[in-house]
This record gives sequence, structure tokens and C-alpha cells, in this order.
Amino acid sequence: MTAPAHATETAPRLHKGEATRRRLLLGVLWTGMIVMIAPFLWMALSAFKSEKDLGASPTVWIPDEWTLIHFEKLVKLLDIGSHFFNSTLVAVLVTVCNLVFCSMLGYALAKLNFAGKRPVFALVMCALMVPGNLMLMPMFVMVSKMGLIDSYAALVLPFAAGAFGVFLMRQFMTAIPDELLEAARIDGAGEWFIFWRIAMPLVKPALATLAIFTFLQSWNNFLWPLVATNDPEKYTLPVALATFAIDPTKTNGSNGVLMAGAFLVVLPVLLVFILLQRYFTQGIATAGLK
Amino acid sequence: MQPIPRIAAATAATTALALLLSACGSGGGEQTSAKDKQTLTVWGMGEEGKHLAKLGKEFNKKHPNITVKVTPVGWDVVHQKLVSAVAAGELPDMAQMGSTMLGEFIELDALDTVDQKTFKKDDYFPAAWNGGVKDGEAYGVPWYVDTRALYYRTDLAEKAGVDKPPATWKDQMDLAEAYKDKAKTKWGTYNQPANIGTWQTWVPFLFSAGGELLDSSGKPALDSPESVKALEEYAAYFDQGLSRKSSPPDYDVVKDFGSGDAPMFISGPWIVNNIKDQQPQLKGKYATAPLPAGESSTSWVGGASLVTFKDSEHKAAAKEFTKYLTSTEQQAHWYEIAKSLPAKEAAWDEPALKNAPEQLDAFEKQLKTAKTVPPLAKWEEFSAKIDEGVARVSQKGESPKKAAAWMQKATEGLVG
Amino acid sequence: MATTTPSRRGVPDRTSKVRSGAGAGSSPGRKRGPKLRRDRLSVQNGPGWLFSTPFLVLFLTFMAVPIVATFVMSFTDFGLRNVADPFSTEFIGLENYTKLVDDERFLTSLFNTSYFVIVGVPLTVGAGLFAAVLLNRGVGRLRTFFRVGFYAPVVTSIVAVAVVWRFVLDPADGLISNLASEVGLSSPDFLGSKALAMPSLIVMAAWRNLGTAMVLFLAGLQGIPAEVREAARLDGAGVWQEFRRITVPLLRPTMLYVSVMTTIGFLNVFEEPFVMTEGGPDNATLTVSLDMYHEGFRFFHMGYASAMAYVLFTVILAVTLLQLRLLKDKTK
Repeated sequence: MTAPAHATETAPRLHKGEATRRRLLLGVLWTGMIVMIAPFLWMALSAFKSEKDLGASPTVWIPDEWTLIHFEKLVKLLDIGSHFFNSTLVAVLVTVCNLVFCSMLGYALAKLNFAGKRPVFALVMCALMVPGNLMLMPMFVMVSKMGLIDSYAALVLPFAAGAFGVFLMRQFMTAIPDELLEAARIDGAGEWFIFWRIAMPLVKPALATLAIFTFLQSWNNFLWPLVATNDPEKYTLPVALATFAIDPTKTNGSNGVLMAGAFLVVLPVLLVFILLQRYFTQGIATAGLK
Repeated sequence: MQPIPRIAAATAATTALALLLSACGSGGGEQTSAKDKQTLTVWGMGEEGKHLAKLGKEFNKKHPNITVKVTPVGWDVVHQKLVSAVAAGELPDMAQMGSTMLGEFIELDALDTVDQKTFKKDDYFPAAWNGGVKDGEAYGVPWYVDTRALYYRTDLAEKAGVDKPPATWKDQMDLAEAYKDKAKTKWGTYNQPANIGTWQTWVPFLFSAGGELLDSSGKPALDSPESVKALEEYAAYFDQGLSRKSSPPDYDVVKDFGSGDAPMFISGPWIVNNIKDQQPQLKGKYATAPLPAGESSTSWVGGASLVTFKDSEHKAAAKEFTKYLTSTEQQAHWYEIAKSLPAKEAAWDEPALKNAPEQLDAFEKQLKTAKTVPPLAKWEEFSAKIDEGVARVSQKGESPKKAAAWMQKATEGLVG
Repeated sequence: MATTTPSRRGVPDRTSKVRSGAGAGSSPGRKRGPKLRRDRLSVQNGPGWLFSTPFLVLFLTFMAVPIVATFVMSFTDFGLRNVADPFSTEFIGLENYTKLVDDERFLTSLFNTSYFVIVGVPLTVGAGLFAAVLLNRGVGRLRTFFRVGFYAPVVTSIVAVAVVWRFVLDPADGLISNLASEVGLSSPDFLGSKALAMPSLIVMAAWRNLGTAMVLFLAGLQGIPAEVREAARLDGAGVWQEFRRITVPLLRPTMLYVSVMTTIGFLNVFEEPFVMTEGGPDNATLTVSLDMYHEGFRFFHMGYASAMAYVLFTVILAVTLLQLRLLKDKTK
């Protein structure tokens, strides 16, 4: 997409200094890349190193023998399976809710004219600015009173319709030509039909972006799940990993087990990201451009 | 096609609301008889929590209708999780409760009273039993007791030219120096410098200096000359570079004990087990000793009791399980599994304890003179102030006198 | 209302009416288009509100009510017992706030959080901008590769990343200490040192978040027409001048957005000290959110914690407004 722009940008200046400059540029970028990736590499290598290699001096960079011992220990100490399940279920529910609810309001704000539209939009913009930590105490009290502590509902509902999602969907819905919707209305279609059958299919890329972002946000969410769950069986992955990482009776100071844990938390997300990276960067750029 | 999604959306929205509103209020209901089929939920803590599941399974073999589900919770978070569970009314049936937490949960009115016909006061160590008593009612059955004593590396001590256990504070300091200078260890000892649970290593110094946590009128006594002296002694190790000034949140001293980086530390009896499991090469290369004496050699009694929560619907089953865990044979068995010292005095005559490894002797001896930590409703906060007071000395570099005065002021509002 | 509610019964009726209207003549219909549309739009209150309901219900329950409740709670002695019985709490006026002013821990946490934001935000935004400018200078196909690498930390859980960095910074067996020993140096105890603990967390936060800034800046840079750059170059502007006179002014809206969002995020910093330092050593990494968590959920001083939350919220609001002002004024 942007390649032509580069062509015009660089073509006329392809003389002597250019090659060195390009080499310098790549040098800086490669250095940056190494810094960005090093912690992940370190994590992955350490997760498979034997306890002896972990503390070895001089340093053993690449494990002599690759071992799964840390993963075996981890599985014994931490019920990774159920934490994984909790995280996934919560993230899926949050994502589905956001896709439906945020699109609904985004559509209404972009394409429907109703009394009170402006205040509702202002509300969304304000909600975008409110830090979640502000609501922690009363939310805990409310959820306790409702008997929802340790329930999936407590982990899903507060995040079921994010302001960011509404904003994002509104941006995309605005781009749908009015004529299209108008034509459907003339054909007698109801608003729900227009929204669900006409508008939604047109914003599929936006839905993909929103889905990915919401899923990730939920997957990585920490403070609220920490507060809203008491029973360790209900912990999401980050809560399980964090409480594990500060508990000497669990880790026994073994960094190998910790790296194995971090590896399992990070790997799926990284893989998904690399596969779907186009949607990420597109989405975040669209959301940022007002 | 059209109505379906609309209905779906509408129901999604309303069920969300309904879910929120419907779930209100679910109080303690009917009691289940001990003979019915049921699941008993129990929260265990720390090292013991890991082992308790085994006992649950063994119990289930004798009582096939009662399945015991044990959930281990980490010590660092267990207090806030239990308190929050009380507030939310979402408690397990039973829990292993640290002796220092009993006061708070009695105060919160969350615990069921103990049937004193089944569980008799005189069978248990008085210090352990009394921690769970308020106004003549008992709220917890002591399960195990523990206390703190000194662990040190004998092989490295030999290398450093020391051949007997340190008996006084001065001996202890000399040994730490000798480790570092002569045996070339990284540190001389490990005194926990800060964060949750620091009080556990400092209070032995306080008691051994002749100090108290509370004075006779029930006020904090943390600015007493003895307390200042205990802080001074504790701080000296940091000042002279004999103990690390900070440690990561999951620091496990056993690892550094094994490598020799920290050849001495103060901790409880379960560490014997951890060393056997994690640092088997240390067999015969370390020993335990009663705490080196300041004015005296005085440790504190900790441990845990078994409590049943008021809201439980399985109180009869909980009583059965408590009975099982506190029987004399099980107490001895538990000692074998977890190296936790029996709270029932009769269990000490069992062969398992008679033939205990010599490392346990120090604890047995220590237990005879150890003092209790007073049952305070706000112990969690009280102890956090001690943790911070010690950190002021170890990390901020504040004078022990100033830190002691700070602790006193910070804790005054937390008693009575 | 009757005609707008999309009831099945109404459908054929309405269609025929509209059809007949439209059939009357295409050119006047088109002229009347905007007006007609407004007429039609003005009668969409029903669907409009219906579509807003799920968000509004959730917003009201989980945001509006709690925001007000936090405010009210901050003037009470709300404690553990009140969780079960919220309405028995007592109002104590401004006591929580006056206590905060004397609370050494809280003041330290406020200082630390400011430190984190004041150093961390420019570092993150600057690094993101730097990366974006480099990537925009024609690295061809490698651009996607670098972009993916620079953005990768953003998608990972802070908790996991904090666990990894704790080990990276470990003075004995960590990545940095191992690298240092390869060249014969020894590494300091980053997280155990009062002076280095906070900078370590800041560097880590910049590492994790610069990807977001970079992607946004890249989008902004691509919005700058090539002709504008070309014109500047023909005028003899060097790389630096081009950056200063063209890139920076044109990126100002993006910069505003990035700074505000990064600041809000950084002011809430919690996971990093929770996992890596527990706020130590000597409270050097104790942040407002961590202190609030301790007060609220370890000791259950919820009224007091609410007051902390409001102080933090006020700071966030003030900083956001200030940034909007500073960066917006200059755009003109």
C-alpha cells in the first residue's frame, strides 16, 4: 500500500550517502529488535533449561539438555488447565458481549437520529477516560452483595460493553453509505434487520479488530479478577501466575518454573498476534485517528 | 429470521440484569447429616495446604459418603482472600487457620463454636488452645503447633573454624562473620529484611531480648528498651553486610541455604522437609539449634487450628473430619508427612515423634519456653506495621530507636 | 411512534406509502432528500434507545453507580463489616482526606507514581516516535517484520512480562547479570536497590508500551502527503529540519492522543510492583494503586482507599486537561 510512496521518496536520492544511511538505519532497527525480543527469548530458553544450567557460571545460553521438568513441576503446583479455561471462557464471553453491544450503540450513534444521542455519545467519551481502579471498592461491595464473588458473571459483566468498542464501531459505522441503509428502509426492513444484516457484514474488519482487542484486554486483565475471586479455582491465568510468583512455598525460588508459567501465558497470545498482526496495527491506528 | 437476533439481544441484556439481581442473598441453610453423601470444602494454607489433600483422600476411604475437597491458598494472599470471602458470604465449610488470624475471625463472628465435649481443652497445648478462645467459647481445634529455631550449615561452620552451635547473640554474630570471612560465603545469615511476614523472624529477637508485643495493660510495647535492643541486633546484620537488604517476593531461603549463599537462618520445623526434598545433598551438613540467647532464648508459638465456618451446611461432616485430623494417630501421621508438630500432647509419645530426626529436637526444646502471639483482631495490620518498622531499619537506614517509636505510634490504635 | 416501531404488521403499509411517494417523480424526491431523511431520522427514538440500552444499563451499573459510590464512600469510615451491611457506615466528613495528607506511605506512593509517569511517558512516547520515524524511512518489506517485533510486548500480559523481567533483572542468574559477566562486569541488584528499582520498572514499561505509540505514529506519518516532504527537501531542509518542521507539527494530534492514553495507563500502574517488588525496597516502588489495594483489600479500609482513588482520579483528570491544553494550543 505504502510502497509507491517510498519509491517516490527514495528514488531521486539514490546516490553515495544513501547506502550508508540505509545500513545505519537497519543497524539501529536490528538493535532495537534484539532488545524487544531478548526477554522473550530468555524466557523461552530458561523454561527448558535444567536447574543446573539456570544457575551455571559461566552462563549456559543454549540449554545443554532441553528439559520439560519445569513444566511438569508447574502442572503439579498450579492447575493450569482450569485457569486456562477460566481465562478463555471469560475472554470469549466478554468479546461476544462487546461485539454485539458496542456495535449496537456504535450503529445507533452513527446512523440513527434519536433524542439524547449527543449526551449518550458524550457519556461514551467520558467513560473512555475513567480509570478502572476508581471503581474497585464499590464494585467489590456490589458484587459481594449480589453473591457473585467467584462467579464468571462478576468477571464478565463489568467489561461486557467497553467505551473503546463503542467508539471504534461508531467510527466504522459512520463510513457506511447512508443510501444503502435508506434503500433498505424503503424496502421496509426494520432497524434490527438493517443493523444485523446490512451494517454488521459491512464492518467485518472492524469487528475482527474489536474482537482481537477485547479478547486480549480481557485475557490480560488483572486487578479486578484479583479482587473478585477468592477461590483459587476461579482464578484467571494472570491472577494465578501473579499469586504463584509471589509465593515462595510454591516456586521455592525456582526461576525455571516461573519462566515455564510465563511461557504458557505468553505463547498463545504471541502466536495469535503474529498470525493476525495486520488487524492489530490497522485497528489501533483507526481507533487513534479521530 | 429477523425476530431471533432481536430476541437474543433483548434477552442478553435482560438476563444480564436478572443475573445481577436474582443472586442476592443465600444464607446458611439446612444442615446436612454426617451420614449423607456430600462434599466438604476445606481451605488449606502454604506447605500444609499442599499435604492436606492426601489426608482428605484417606479420610474419604473411611467415610465414603464424604468427599473432601482441599483448596490450597498461598500464605501471602490467604488473609485477604478469607476476609473477603467472609464479607461476601462465600466461604468454604472449613479451613486451616493460622493461629494469628483466629482473633480476627472470632471478632468477625464467622466461626462456629467448638463442641467442647468432643474436643477437650486438656488434650492440647494450652498456648495453642487458648488462642482460639473468647469469653469461654472455643472457636478452633488446634491442629499443629510450630515455633522458630535456628538452622545453620555445619560443614561451612567447620570450614570457618566453628564447631558448636551458637548459644548467644554474640556467638551468632561471630558465626555469621566467620562464614563470610573464612568460609567465603556470600552472606553470613538471612534475616528477612522487609515485606509480608518479616515479623516472624524479628519477633524471636524481641522475645529473646526480654521484650513483649503488648504490655500488661494491653498496649503495644514496641518502643520498650528491649524492642530497641532487638531492632539493633537485627539491624547489625544488615549494617555489616552479613544479610541481604532486600529479597524478591518469592525468595526461598532454602535455595540459598543449599548453595551456601545464606548459611544460617531462623525458621520453622517444616523446613526440615523442604531441605530433604529440594536440597537432598545437605543431608548431614546442617543442624538446627535453639535460638541463640539474648537475655533468654525465647521463640514464639505459632501453628494452625481447624475451624468450621458458621454458614457451613456440613457442620456434622466438618466435625468428623476435625475429629479425624486431631486423633492421636493422625497427629503422628501428619507429623510424618508435613513435619508439623502435633498440637495434641499425647501424640508426642507416638513412635513417629519419639524417633524423630535430631533436627526436630531444637523445636521441641524451644516449644517449652515459647510465648504466644496475643490474639488480636487487627493482627494483620499490627504485624504489617512491624514489617514496615523493620524495613525502616534494614532498608531506610533509620535508627532502631526512631523505628521503634514509629512502630509504637503506628500500632497504638490497633489494639483493644 | 406507531409507524416507527418496526412491527411486522406495519411493514407492508409503510413500504407502500414510501414507494408511492418516491414513485411520484425522481427529481423532486432527490431534492427533498435531505429533508426527507431528517424527517425519517427524527422518528428513530425507539430503535435508538433500544440499541443504546445494553451499554447504558452496564454503564450505569458498573461505572456511574460505582463512581458516585466511591465518592460517597470516601467521606465514610467504610470498613469490612460494611461490606455485608453497606448502609450502616458512618459519615466522617473530610477525615479520610486530612489523614491522607499526613500519610507518609501515601505521599511516597504519590511521588513514586508521578516519577513513573513523568519519566515513563516521555520515554515511551519518544521511543515510539523514534521507532515510527525510522520505520517510515523506507525499509521496504522488513517494515512489517520490525513492526511485529516492536509491537509484540504490547499484546502480552503485564503479569507474565513482569515475571519475566524480574528474572531478566535478577542480580545472580538474570539475563543482564549474565551479559555483564560475559564482558567481565557485575550487575547491580536492580530491583533491590532504592535508586534503581523505579527506573527499572520505567524502562520495562517503556519497553512494553512503545509499540502502541509506534503504530499510532506510523499511521500518522503515512497521513503526511509525500509531496509535503518532497517540497521541504527541495527547499533544502535536512533530516532534522524536516522532522522538526513537518513531522512533529503534523503529528501533534496523534501525539496528544498517545500521551493522554499512555499517561492514564501509567498513572494506574499496579501489576509491575505487585509482582516484582511488592512496593519495596523501602517503598521505592509503592504506587498509588498498590497502596490503595493494600488499604482496600488487605486491611479493608475501604472508605480510606476510596479517598485515595479519588485523589488519583483528580490527578488523572488534571493531567489530561493540562495535556489537552498544552498540545492543542500549539496545533493552532
